[in-house]
Order: sequence, then structure tokens, then C-alpha cells
Amino acid sequence: MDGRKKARLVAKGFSQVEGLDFDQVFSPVVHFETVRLMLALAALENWYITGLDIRSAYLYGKLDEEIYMEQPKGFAVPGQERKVLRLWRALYGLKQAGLAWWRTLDESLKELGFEHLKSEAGIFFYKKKGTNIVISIIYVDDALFCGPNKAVVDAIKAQFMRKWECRDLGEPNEFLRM
Amino acid sequence: MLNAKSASTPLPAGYYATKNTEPVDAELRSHFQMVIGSLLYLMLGTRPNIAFAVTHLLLHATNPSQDHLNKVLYICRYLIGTSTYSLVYNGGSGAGLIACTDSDWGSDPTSHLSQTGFYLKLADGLISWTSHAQKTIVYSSTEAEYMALSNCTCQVTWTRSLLGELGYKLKAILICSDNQGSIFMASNPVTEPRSKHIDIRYHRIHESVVKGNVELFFIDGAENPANLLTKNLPREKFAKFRAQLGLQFPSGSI
Repeated sequence: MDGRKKARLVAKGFSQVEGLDFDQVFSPVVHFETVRLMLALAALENWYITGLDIRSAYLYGKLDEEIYMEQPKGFAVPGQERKVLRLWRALYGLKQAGLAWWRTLDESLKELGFEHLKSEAGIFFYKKKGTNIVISIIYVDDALFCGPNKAVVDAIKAQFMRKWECRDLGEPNEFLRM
Repeated sequence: MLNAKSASTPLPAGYYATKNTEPVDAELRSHFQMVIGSLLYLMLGTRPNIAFAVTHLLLHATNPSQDHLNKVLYICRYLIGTSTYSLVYNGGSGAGLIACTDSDWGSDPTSHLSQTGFYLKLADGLISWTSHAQKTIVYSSTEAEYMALSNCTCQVTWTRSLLGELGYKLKAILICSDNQGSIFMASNPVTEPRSKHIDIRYHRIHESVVKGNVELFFIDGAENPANLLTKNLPREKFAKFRAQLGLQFPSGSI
């Protein structure tokens, strides 16, 4: 650990009722084999690779469902202790948090000109006429951007980092602890 | 554990786990599951060389015996000796996509199920690998190989379409197998008395061959690295095949 102290508000996902509080819970994450496939491809094509992670990614996920939460102990609004909170965005622990985040991410990458692949929802492909391709590999909040042209990849990555609060990891030594 | 003597293979050559007939020991089971869970993660990430050992012992996760626990620790001892190995993709090799399959017919002495093993390689390093016991008992080694070939073709098809979406137009992908009979069955629409019972989904491979998406290639069984994904091999053979997977000591480091 790096000495930082961490605390996180977590939703009691186990109390959610299927069909009422959540519907689908799968979250498209990139397969390990796809990550290796992309790394092998990048090696063959001599691509530039750069990484980042998105801070508290799940908290950005927009919720379709109407979900209420008890006020956390010690943080209740004085005089309004009996009220509950309405969640507008996902919290860690919520069953649909992963999927909600992926949908939000997918939407934002579309705005940048990316499309997710049909055969792999964790790979986003950027292709425009007159410019080099950029491929993004995303595992929840860990992302790699790669492509043949460093300037193009860095420019796209910078645009992405303006949308989300990220930690720039530069040229990666590891991904998903592989 | 860190000071333990390292083992040269993940499990002893020819080892098969036998079913535990004793009642469940909850403490032992939780210890076993914790260790094998970690091993599974390593195997899925960068360690194809322990795929057979891990998936084989995983079959006993609901009621492991002391022997099973000893054997998962044996895998750990193997990993200690090879902790600096890494999967290397050699961009300079220019090596395209290639697959290798193998199976071991009726090898498990308790279940009589056959083992499937196959991998896909790109840039001279493994990108995808599988080792699992087949779901049904089969009559012959040809049939066991056919099942493996068929599963491998599915994986190749998926990889092809993924690369296709990225703009790569690929020629037929080579799949290597060491069984002439299964290659013949896959390449020719024959139904013999001995193969007519095979489930229709396994015949999808015909389609891939006819369309020219895959091409089947015979290799000598003694030279088939996918062998490593179907059984516990003796040391020399294991080391030879491991080197062919792209698992290497990083040069220049300790």
C-alpha cells in the first residue's frame, strides 16, 4: 500500500430485490485472452501503449432504477433523521453498478468517436478517415490506449482524461496484475 | 513457503487425483479453496503451464482430501521455482495466429472422461489456452480429439471475428492436431457407424473448414506442445513444451 487512507461508502446490495431494484447485473469486462491478444498484436505492429485508471469509476454510473438508501450512521442530516436518500448515481456494492458504469462509459467513448466491438465489449475502436486508429482496452476502471501513432493516441487519451477524473499511468509495466 | 524446495513440474508425472470418500472437512476445504482460487487467477493470467494441474484439482474443490491439499501446495512449489518466468510476445518474429489442440482419451481413472487442451498463439507467445475435462465419455481417441478440435475452432472463429472488426483480413488459420482420424472427420462430411452419435454442435468445424476459415494440419504427437494441457508430463517433456509456449526467463534479470 502507498500509505493513503481509504474509506468508501458502500450500498447494501444484498437487500436489493430482483425486478424491482435491479434488472440486469452482468457487466461487460474485457476477457483476459483479449488483453493478451491485443498486447501480442501491439508487439507485432510495434504500437505505442499508454495506460490510465479512472478514479472511483462506479460512482459515475447513471441509474435507470429508482433506489433509496438509509442515511449512513453518523452522517444523517440533523432534524431529518427519518428521511431516506434517493440515489441518482451508482454506489459500490449496488448490484447494477458495473453495468451502469459500462453504459455511461460506452456513451462517453461514443462521443469521442469510439465504438465497442461486437465480439468484445471491452475493446473500443477509434477509426476516422485521414487519421490513425486508436484501440482502447477497458477493464472496469483500468484502461489502455494503443495505436501506431503516439501523437494521435496521446491526443485521444487527453480528451478522455478531460471527461473523467483519471490517474495517468504512462507506459504500463503491468495490467490487471498480469 | 518461500523457503520451500521448488518442484520441476506442477504435479508429479502421471498423477491423477482420486475422489475423497471421507466426509467434508470444512477447515481443510476452506484452506484448499483459498489456495486453488489464487492458483486459478495466476493460471488465467499468465501461467498456461499450470492449466492442467489447476483445472484437474479444481474438480475436487467441494470435498478435497489431505492429498489434494498437498498437491495444490506442490503446484505452489513449482511456481516458486519459476516465478521470474513471463509470457513474451516477440514482435520481431512476425508470427501470425496459429492454434494447437490435443486430448487425452479417457485418461481420468475415476471419471473415464477425456481431457481437452488447446491454445492459440500470436507473435510467438500464447494468447489463449484451455484445459478441461470433456463433458461426455467418448468411444475413441479420435472422438476425443474431434471434440478438442471442435472447441478450438470456436475459439479461433471468435478471435478471427475480433481481428476482423479491427480491419484485419485473415487467411485460413492453421490448427495443429496429432490425430489423423479427427482431421479426416473434420475435413470430410462422413458419418461412420462409429461417429454418427456425435452431437451436432461439434460438427460446426466442417463449416469452418469449407469456408476456408481454418485449415487443419497434422503434427507428430511427440512434438505437440498442447500435450502439456492434457496431462501431467515428466520433467524433460514438460520443459520442452513449456519453452514452446512463449514462457521464458526474462533475459538480463535474475
